[in-house]
Order: sequence, then structure tokens, then C-alpha cells
Amino acid sequence: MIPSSVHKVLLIAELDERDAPSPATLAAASLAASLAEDLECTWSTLAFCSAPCRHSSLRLMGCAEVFECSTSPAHGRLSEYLAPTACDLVRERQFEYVIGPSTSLGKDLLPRIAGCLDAAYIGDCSGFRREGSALSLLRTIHAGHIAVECRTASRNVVLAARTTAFDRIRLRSSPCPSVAVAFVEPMSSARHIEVVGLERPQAQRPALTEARIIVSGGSPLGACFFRVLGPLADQCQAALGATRTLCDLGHAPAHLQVGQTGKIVAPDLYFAIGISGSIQHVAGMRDSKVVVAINRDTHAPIFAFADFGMVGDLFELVPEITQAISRRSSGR
Amino acid sequence: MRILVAIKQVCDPDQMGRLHLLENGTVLDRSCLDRFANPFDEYALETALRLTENGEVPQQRLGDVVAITFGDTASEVVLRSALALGATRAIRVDATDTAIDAQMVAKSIAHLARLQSADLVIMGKQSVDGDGNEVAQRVAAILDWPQVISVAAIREQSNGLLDVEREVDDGTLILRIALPAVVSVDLRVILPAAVRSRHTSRGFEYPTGVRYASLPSILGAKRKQLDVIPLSELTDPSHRVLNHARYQLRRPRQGCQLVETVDELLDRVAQHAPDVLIERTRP
Repeated sequence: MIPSSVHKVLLIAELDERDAPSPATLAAASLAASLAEDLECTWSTLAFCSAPCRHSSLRLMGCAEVFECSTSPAHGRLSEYLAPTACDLVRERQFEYVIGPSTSLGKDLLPRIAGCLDAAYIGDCSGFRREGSALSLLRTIHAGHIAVECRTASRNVVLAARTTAFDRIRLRSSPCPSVAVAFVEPMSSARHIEVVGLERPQAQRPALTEARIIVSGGSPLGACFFRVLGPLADQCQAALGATRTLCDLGHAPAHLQVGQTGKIVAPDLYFAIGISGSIQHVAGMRDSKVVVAINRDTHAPIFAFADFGMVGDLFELVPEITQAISRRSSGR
Repeated sequence: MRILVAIKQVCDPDQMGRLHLLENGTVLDRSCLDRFANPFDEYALETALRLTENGEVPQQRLGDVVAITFGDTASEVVLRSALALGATRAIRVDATDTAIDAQMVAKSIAHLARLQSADLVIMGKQSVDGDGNEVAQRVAAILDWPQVISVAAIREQSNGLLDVEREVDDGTLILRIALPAVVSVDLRVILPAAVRSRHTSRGFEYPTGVRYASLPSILGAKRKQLDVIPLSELTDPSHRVLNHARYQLRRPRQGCQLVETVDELLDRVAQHAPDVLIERTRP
């Protein structure tokens, strides 16, 4: 019998400007760690960074070793450059599972790795289930309406961790060893793509995917989106979110869109203001811990996905809520 | 330019109530749902049409747009509709929806792209029923072509390079690609000035959304070429990498409490999410 590899799980880390693992990476690391525990093996990390990695926390996530691959920032955004190194490492060290966060880069890179390795890919994976010898990987389909247990039939399995489904892994006190790996010569496709630029919106509020509170608005707000919801968001240090319609109408920037085709969020508290509750929007927020809905229409579908609701005119209620929170915060 | 557009027939997302689980949750019955072309794939077709025309003379096709789908004869309706909108030819890969997975579809599309000498493969960023968001990336991997996913804008330069905008978590990434390449498109690709071929003048704006077919073009579509290729000619139909073992319906929350006053609302929130909205002041 062929001895099974002890390092079966490889996490692909995403780093911030300081080379520290991103919050989404720390969430994906939780999935890597629990899967490794289930498989009774250790897990490792691959990071594309300036080598040696400048930030120590990458080596404090609890994995057996960190593979560091020196990469320029422009190449770090292109799967055409990253996939060959990842695939070579997986083949050479016989990793079975490749895990990354379900971010815009993860959704680009991880399915490409799956394509190269002829592997199964579980997008937006929310966990796994063990039944005897069978391991099922969990995700949802039909805009979050159906949960599905996936079984894989390939040598390798690639997972994009739904970052809202996992707590960030707790950092250890002692670092693991790091191993430098060479950047593998990219495939020919890499010669046919280049980054021209990145336009960043000005961020004055917490990021949508990291905020504890989200104040989200729908089409009735129209051009008043920022004016009505901004003060409430500022009062409770919340991120702003919007429906697809509001974004399409140009009243909210595209990166604030919550939903099946926007960002998937699960904050501690979600305010759905003037949001009817289309299946596409609900897919992006239904796992929020507490949902408050404010709508003029008692029969709006959003109330089925809310814990508490108020029926009324949002243009009156939102300022009232903002003031009430302000009063309570200052101890009346 | 020859563009392959992959179009999937999906279930109506507004008819989720008609989904049923059978055989102890091991079978998902979608037979009661209406089917139509995946909206993102319709945007992919619109993108392909805009890239192969002068926006001012859309009747004249300046390239080749080949629409493909996977399915039985019933799925040909999405191809006929694509032909009516301006696609030049269509291919149906004869397959059963439940017997194929993303890697099989990707291998077949990659094979077709080579057979057809395609310059560009375009599809929607995800299907609205499977929510996979993986086929374009797999096709690009198999072909070793550059990929740009979730594309919001494409402008063809006079030298044939494409300037492509993609929305990422921290903003908008602008990329330049040389053909051949694979692209998946997002919602905003159908805005008036989002996609422009080198034949279309810079100031030209399309109406927002996808175009509609005229009656003569619907009739004309019946005479356009539609080929049927068995799946086994393109890939090994027995090689699956993923199976769905069991399904479960996810229910909405139980019982939303409607409250009358703002104070009552904040009291309830404070009970259920303590310290989130208002931090308790320390004595």
C-alpha cells in the first residue's frame, strides 16, 4: 500500500500591503486547520510575497510550514502567474486539498488551479461533513436556497472558503518554519496579459466584508442613499451596502453591492432599509446574525429573512433611529 | 474576430418555491421550473455582438459569433434566440444536464475553441442556478490562455489588444490582454459605453441592456446553421470530478417580530445582539 502523505492540505494565503495575512485568509485558515484535523494530517501555507516575508503573523497561523514565493505585486494579482507555482507545489509535495479564501483573487485563481489539476472545485465552501469514510463538502446553490453536499471523485480538490462561514484562526505565539520556493516560469498565457492600473474607491467606512454592522439600502432611497444612510452608518461605525438596483441606477458605487452577484456578507447586525428582499439580494445577506428590516410594504419578502421589522416611511424612521442610537450611546 | 459564446439554460430563480427534493434528498427535482438563458450569458452574447460590429451599423456582422450550449433538443431554444439576435452559427453539445460537471463542460468548450480557431471565449461569470463561477477559469487553464473574469468593460484597441476592466474587492482592475483569451462578464458590461469594438466610434453609446430580436431576424434564425455534437466527441463523458450527494432546502427565518416604535426596535436589537449597536458603558 502506498503510504499516505502527512501534508495533505495546502492553504493559499493572501497578504495585505504589510505582508500580513488578510482577514479572509485567516478565515480560510480555519477551514484548512479543521479539515487537516479531520484527515489527521498537518497543513501548510503557500504565500506569494516579498521573500523573506516581512510580517511574522503569516507563520503564526498554526500550520506546519509556510512556503514563501517571491512575487512582484503586479504579478500577485494575475492567476496566469500564480497558478503554475501553486500547481507544481501541489504535485511535488502531493497535497490533496488546496484551500483559499473566496475573494476576488481567490475566485479567479482557485478554479484555474482546479482546471490545471483536473480537480473538483467547491466555490464558496461553507464547511464539510464526515460520514464514515465519506467526506462531503458543503456549499449552496440556487441563490442560497438549496444546501448541497458535494462528493469529489478527483485526486485533488480545490476549495474557496466562504469567509463569512468561518471565524478567523487564532494566532499562535511560536512561528512555524518557512521554506522558500522558486517562482515557476509562468505558462505562455502570462505573456498575453498585463495590469494597466487599479482604481481604488476612497474608503471612509469599514469594508463591507469585515464590518460588524452593515446599513444597506434599496431603490426607494434613490439619490438620497448617502444622505439618509450615511449618518446612521457613521453613528454605529457600520459599512454601507446596497442592492443591485440601486447600484445599477448609479446611486451607489458597484463595490457596495450585496447579493448573489455582489458581496456575500454575514455581519452581527444587518439593516435592510427599503429593500424588498429579492432572492438575489437575500442570497448575499441571509446568514447575518440579526437582521432588521424597514419597509413601507408589510408584505415585502425581506420580512421573512428578518428578525425584527418596522413598517413605515424610511425617510422618517432612519433619522429617528440614528438619533435614538446617538442618545443611547451618550447615555441619554 | 471569431468569438465562442457559451450559454447555459437555467431554472427561473423566481420559482424557487417549485423546487422539490426526492428520494430522501438525493435528487433535486427542477422539472416544475421554467427555463431560460442564464442572464449573465445573455450579457456575454451582447458583449460578443458589440465586439463584432460597428455600433452604428449593427445589421452588419464584422466577425463570427458562435453560440454554444449543452443539453437536449429542448435547450436549442436558447441557440435559436442567439441566432435571431445576431450570432452567426450555433452548436449544441448533446448532453444530459445532470450527467455533466464543470470540468467536463470546460474541457468540451476548450476543445471546441481549438476546433473552431476561436479568438475569444465569452460566458457569464456564473449561472444563476448552479452559482459555480468556475467554467471560464477552467477553460483558460486548459487552453493556457489569459483569463479575465467578472468583466465590467471591454474596449478593443486599434492594434487588436483588449483593455478590460474587472471589479475586484478593492476597486477596479484594468488589464490589457492579447488574443486568444477567455472572458467572463458581470452585470455592468451591458451599460451604454462598456463594450466597444475598434469599428465603433469612441463617442457611441448603446441603449442600456441587451438587444431584442426583430421578427424578420427571428424567422431568419431558423435558416442559420445549428450543429449538434455528441459530448463524447469532445471529452470523456464518464470522467466526473464532482457529484452532488444530497440536497437540503434552506428555510427563511422563523417569525419576524414587527415593532411599533424605534425604542422598542433598539431594545430588541440590544437583547439579541448585545454590545454590537451600543456598547454598554462601564460603571
